[in-house]
Amino acid sequence: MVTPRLRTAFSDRSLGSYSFDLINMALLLAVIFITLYPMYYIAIVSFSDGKEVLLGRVRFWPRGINLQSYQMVLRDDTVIRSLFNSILYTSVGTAINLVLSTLCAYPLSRRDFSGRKWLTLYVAITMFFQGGLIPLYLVVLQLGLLDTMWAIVLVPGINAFYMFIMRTYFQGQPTALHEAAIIDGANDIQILARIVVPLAKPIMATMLLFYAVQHWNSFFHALIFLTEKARYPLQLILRSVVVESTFEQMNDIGAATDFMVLEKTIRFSVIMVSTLPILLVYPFLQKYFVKGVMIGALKG
Amino acid sequence: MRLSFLAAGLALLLVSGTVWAAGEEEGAAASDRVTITYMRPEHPSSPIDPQAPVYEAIREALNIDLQIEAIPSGDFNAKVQLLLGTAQLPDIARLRQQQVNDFADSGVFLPLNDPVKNQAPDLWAYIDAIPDAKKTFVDGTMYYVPQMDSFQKLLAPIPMIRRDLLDDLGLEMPDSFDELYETLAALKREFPDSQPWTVRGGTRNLLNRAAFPMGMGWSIHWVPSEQRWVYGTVKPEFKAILEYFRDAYADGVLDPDFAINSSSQWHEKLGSGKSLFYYDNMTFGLNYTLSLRQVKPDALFWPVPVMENSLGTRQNFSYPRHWLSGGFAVASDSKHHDRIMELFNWMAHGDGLLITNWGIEGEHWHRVNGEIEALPEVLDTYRGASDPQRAMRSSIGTGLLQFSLIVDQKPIYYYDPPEVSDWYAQVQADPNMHLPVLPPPFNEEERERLKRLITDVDNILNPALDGFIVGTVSLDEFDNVMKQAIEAGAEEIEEIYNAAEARLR
Repeated sequence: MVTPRLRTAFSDRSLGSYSFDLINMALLLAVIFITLYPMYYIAIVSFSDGKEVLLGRVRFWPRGINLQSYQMVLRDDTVIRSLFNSILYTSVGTAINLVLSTLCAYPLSRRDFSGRKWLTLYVAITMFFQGGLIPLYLVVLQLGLLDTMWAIVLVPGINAFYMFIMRTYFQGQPTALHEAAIIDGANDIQILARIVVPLAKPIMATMLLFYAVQHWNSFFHALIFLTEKARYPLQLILRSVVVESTFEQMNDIGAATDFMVLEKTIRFSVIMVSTLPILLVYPFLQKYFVKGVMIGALKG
Repeated sequence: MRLSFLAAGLALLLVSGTVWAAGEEEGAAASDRVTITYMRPEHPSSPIDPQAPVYEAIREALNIDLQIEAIPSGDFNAKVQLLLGTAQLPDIARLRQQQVNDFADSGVFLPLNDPVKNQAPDLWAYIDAIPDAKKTFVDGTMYYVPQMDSFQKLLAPIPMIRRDLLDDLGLEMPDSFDELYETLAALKREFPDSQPWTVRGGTRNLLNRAAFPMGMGWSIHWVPSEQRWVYGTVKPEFKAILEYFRDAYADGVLDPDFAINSSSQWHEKLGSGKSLFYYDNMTFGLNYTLSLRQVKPDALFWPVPVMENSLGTRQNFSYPRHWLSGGFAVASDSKHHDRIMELFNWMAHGDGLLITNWGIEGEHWHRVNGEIEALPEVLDTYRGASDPQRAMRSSIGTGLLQFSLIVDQKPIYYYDPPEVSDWYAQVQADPNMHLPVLPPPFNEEERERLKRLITDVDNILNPALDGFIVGTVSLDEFDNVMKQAIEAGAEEIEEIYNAAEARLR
């Protein structure tokens, strides 16, 4: 429905301005389509009849809707076990990330913290120079973390870039609050736990999302640090499904003929199963996310 | 309140993680029992179950616990490079020849000549009986036990065509590459939306399969008629092959996406009827046939007999016998060299050989008139699987993709329908089928030189090949490219190969 205000806005404008907006909108709609269509296509293929997919008839709508591929994916032990592992690594890893990042960001945000500049520089260097894969592997080996969950959750304990965003946010909090807390007898830990963190919900939510997505998508650390298959996260399974284009470990899939027909729908179902959990987190954190990113980005 | 709830949740997660990790720790081993780590790439169709009967049988027979590290095959190379770089190789690793060659000098692998000769004589007897196996040695030293076969039908990348469509249109099975072109062009005219000849793995794979049968092989390859190595891509005959594909591309006979098709897209095109011909592993033809029959009940892929090329000859390479370009390396710092040799020898004869290929007698196989046969009930168990033979071997722990040094491939043919048996017979009987020859062993200087030369020549030729076929590089320009490739060392590659081959012979 066109509101009177909108109608006035359009009627007051020149044809050129109107055309510009129209072209702009068309271009942006095209960009939205290009961005969303691949995901949409994966969804409709995963819900379609494998035969229709194989014959190339699925373009814009699912055809011959069925959930056979999802049944197969969710019946597979490997997928279920790796899904559980991914949830565990993401939960534990993100919790560790938030604790460590907060503990690092808070002191660096305090202007009265001596050596702050040098420590900031020390952390910043890690953003540009890393030790490399072999030293990292040897450290994990020496610490006895190889083939344990801790290699996956502790190694990426702090992301320096995210930590700096947090520090920037903390710096924006009024120092008067800290001073008042000190006068009331609070120590640093109490100030952090009772004043700083509760007032930093937007940035905490943003970091939670950033870190959670990072953990959820991560497969490389699992590849190099884990040897026991039972500990593999979902992304390693997804990688072999997508990159190696096969999901033949599902031996109860039926005759070979069904397999050919169902291969693509199964592959896309696995992608949906591995993507949905993390996508579902976004709506709940949306309001904090936008706020946190804006605040973190504007103040340097 | 909310904060304490969060803290409790975090603590719970940390504790659950600790308990979970601790619960997976290995239990104490018996004094005479050893744990040997074994790493291999895991084929997606043949997942590895450490509790499979074969691994249990090894435990019982030799008191060896195999701790299996199955790495997804797509990422195996990255993991191997890391482990070799940090000298953290497991006791036994299934590696490719190139991976072993690159690190042979580093001391990370146990030289195997003497241990195998002395402690695994049955295995040595197999290796000694295969002349090409010695080509895998580095400067005379065996750093890995090549994987060999005790029985295998000859398999080949061959041309496969939709015979049902030829019958429908009254077309003959092509007998030469010119006839093939005409046939595919006729199919294209009849089915304008089709992309008759499709390819996976890009130009490299197209030429690797088809160029030698067309008269001049791609890159460095063995020419049986001349008994020498030839770098085919820079020979004048090769240009005619490229022109053939250039025309095929222009006429729509060759898939327009030939250079970028993934394996998955390739499968889809052939299984859906979009493409009608391929030059690759013949056994895929069965899957496509079965898939196509859902929409065309008489659909049928069929092998085209080796065709005559423009030089008037017929030639095709089969896949090699044995899997000599990969095998089992032993870490030099392993504490269990003697037990590994004991295991290797057990796997090379008697019970070990049977168990690692067939499973447990009475449980998975029996003897019929002295011949070993899989039990019918075992075969029935996997008959409904997508890939029954791999499902069976994965579940029992047998064969090529599990842990077998000398592989008996007979179990894989149980599920073949009669058509596929006919295809094998056709390949086996074809006098124009040649076994590929493994490159000779090179000395250190040659290896280094070859590495550089091959990189230089590939960098010049490969981009031009695509360009020439799709028409963005002219014939004159391609002559220049070939000249540059020769100057960069294409002929020197030939010389090094032939010198090394002569030395070996």
